[in-house]
Amino acid sequence: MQSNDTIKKELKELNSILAGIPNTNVYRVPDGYFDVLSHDILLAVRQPAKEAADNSSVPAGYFDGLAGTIMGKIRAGADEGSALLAGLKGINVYRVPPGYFNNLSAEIVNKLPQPAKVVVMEKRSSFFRYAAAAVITGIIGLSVISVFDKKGETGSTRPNPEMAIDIDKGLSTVADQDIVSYLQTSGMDVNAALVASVTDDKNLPEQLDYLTDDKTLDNLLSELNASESTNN
Amino acid sequence: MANQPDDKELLLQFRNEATREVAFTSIIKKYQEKLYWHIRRMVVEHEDANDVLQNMFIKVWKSLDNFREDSQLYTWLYRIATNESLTFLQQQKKRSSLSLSDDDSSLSNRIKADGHFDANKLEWKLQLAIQKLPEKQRTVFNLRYYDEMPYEEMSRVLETSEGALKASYHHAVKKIEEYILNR
Repeated sequence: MQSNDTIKKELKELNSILAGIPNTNVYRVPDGYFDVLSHDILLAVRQPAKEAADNSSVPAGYFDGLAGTIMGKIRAGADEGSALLAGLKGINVYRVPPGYFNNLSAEIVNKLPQPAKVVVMEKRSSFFRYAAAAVITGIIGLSVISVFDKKGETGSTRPNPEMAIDIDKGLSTVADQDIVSYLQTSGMDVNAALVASVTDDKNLPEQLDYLTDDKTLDNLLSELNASESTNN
Repeated sequence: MANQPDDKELLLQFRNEATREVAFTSIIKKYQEKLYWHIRRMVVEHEDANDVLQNMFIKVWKSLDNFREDSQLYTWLYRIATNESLTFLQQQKKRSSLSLSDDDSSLSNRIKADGHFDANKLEWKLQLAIQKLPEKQRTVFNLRYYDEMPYEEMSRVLETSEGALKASYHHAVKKIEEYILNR
């Protein structure tokens, strides 16, 4: 350790006021504390060894009488092994807490896993079962129809504008008489077909016109005949 | 004291089962006061210092066989004493669930609770100022100012470079001055 002077000198070099403060010990210890300290520490050091020795001790004179006790039991029995075991059979070295077995079964039962709760469903009439089956069948049927309808829309039945133009061109080269004879052989109304063909480009009367004027339809037909005759 | 065996001789005696306790008693008697005061300045109260000191020597008893003599015995003892003191303070801090500043004031309160405390005396003001320092600075200041330990030795005790210790000590001196002058 360095001298007090060295520390003071260092503090003076630091221009510290601590250089002027007396380096005194302000604390106190109980009288005679350091006289007994080493003794107290040694006691504390020895204590664990002493406790270990106490725990492993046996009753006084135990080993002195042990051999005689065992030999006496051996001599008392006819058979060496059975005599020894017979002497030890009734001795239970273990203990249980008082009343342990009285409460044991109840404790075990309490710890058993609880069975799941069974919910009983009420009996339902057969009418509801059939009604439910009918509803489900209906939903499935409608779904199938809907799917096929959609396929039909997006499939071959949708009119193709280019194809329609080709058909019109083709029909224009066919003679009217040939068309009439085709319609007659295929069982179709020739007049209705003719009316339909000439009304394509016409503005037909509104539905209200038929109601307000009885002659609307006659006027239309005569008008169609007139235009047909002028076209021809 | 002059006829007392040196540390090497004491360690040899300690390793001999027949002279083990005698040697240990000699080690305690040789270092008890220095170590006690080092611990006391850290933990302030006598009861705490006594507990830390006794626990520290019990640990020394258990591990002295493994002491490899790479350092001097007193350096090793100071290191254990310092670690035990800091551990004790940490445990107290945890126990009381106080912050660092609260714990400092708690140490200050313990100083003020001392039967000999005199607020007008400079040496007691110095103690209050020391307790305001961070733990590491407080340890360095106490080892230098009171135990007059050379930086070289302190470096082995605290496992810190001499330069860092000098800087720490100078910082501590300035903080203490500031505290004393402003009170």
